[in-house]
Amino acid sequence: VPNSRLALALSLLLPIAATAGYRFDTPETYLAEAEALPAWGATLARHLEERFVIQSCLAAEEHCDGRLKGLRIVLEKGENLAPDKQLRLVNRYVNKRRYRKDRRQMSLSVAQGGQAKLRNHWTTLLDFLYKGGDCEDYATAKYFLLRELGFAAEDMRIVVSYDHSVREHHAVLAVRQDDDSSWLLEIDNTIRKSRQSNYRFIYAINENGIWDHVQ
Amino acid sequence: MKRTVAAIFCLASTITLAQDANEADVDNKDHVDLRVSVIESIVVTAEKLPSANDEEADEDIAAILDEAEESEEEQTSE
Repeated sequence: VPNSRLALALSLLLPIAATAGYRFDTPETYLAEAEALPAWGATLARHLEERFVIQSCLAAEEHCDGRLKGLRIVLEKGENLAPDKQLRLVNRYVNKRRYRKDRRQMSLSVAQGGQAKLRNHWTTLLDFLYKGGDCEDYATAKYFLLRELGFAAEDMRIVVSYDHSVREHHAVLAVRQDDDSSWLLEIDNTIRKSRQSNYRFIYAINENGIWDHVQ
Repeated sequence: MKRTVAAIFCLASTITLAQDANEADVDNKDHVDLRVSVIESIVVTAEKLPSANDEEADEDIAAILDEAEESEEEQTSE
């Protein structure tokens, strides 16, 4: 009987947890520095190298090729927009890119016991612009682009959540608002401002760290 | 004699506290390693395709996006 009561209580509580908006003001959920997640740490390091290419393109148009020409226009013209318009611009610009499932790209790493494990593959901004990607790559590209437009790292996190509507894990970019609530930049051009959502937040990352929301 | 006992007591307390701190560090590191391993094993699989919703972009945003797209097309056709 106690077990069935516990199950009932959990089933009543879970939908509540799923509908709360993402919050940044939860220092107790901080887990570790970004590099503790090797795949993410490697992507950050690669992006840092690629920033020279982006900066060079921003400095002179003749250094831009392919997608970088479009990126230059978005960054140059977006610089003069208000922050909420910058969010809309970046959201729409990134969502126009090619969707590509990354199942084949997922790194197959061999753990200590000799067991092979599938792990997420995180792309850099340039990788994404040229090759496309899937939901976590869209969120990552939005993060790197908004960083170029001057948004602070501590005000953005790539949030991996369990989406109850499709019953799978999904990633979106959360951007902190003044009241510590957040806006979620969705893949369908929507910017979700409401505190209601179908998501149960699992973990979040940015260049400063990893936050574990199911501790 | 009293001084010796006090010194031994202090030494023992210091060693105990240091051991507790070390154990706490190890526990914390183990916890972080475990959680990172769990997080790493979560594969983001939702196949949500990008799609434009009905909401139209503001004129200034639409103009920037059009210009960006044109510049990329020019590059491709060159």
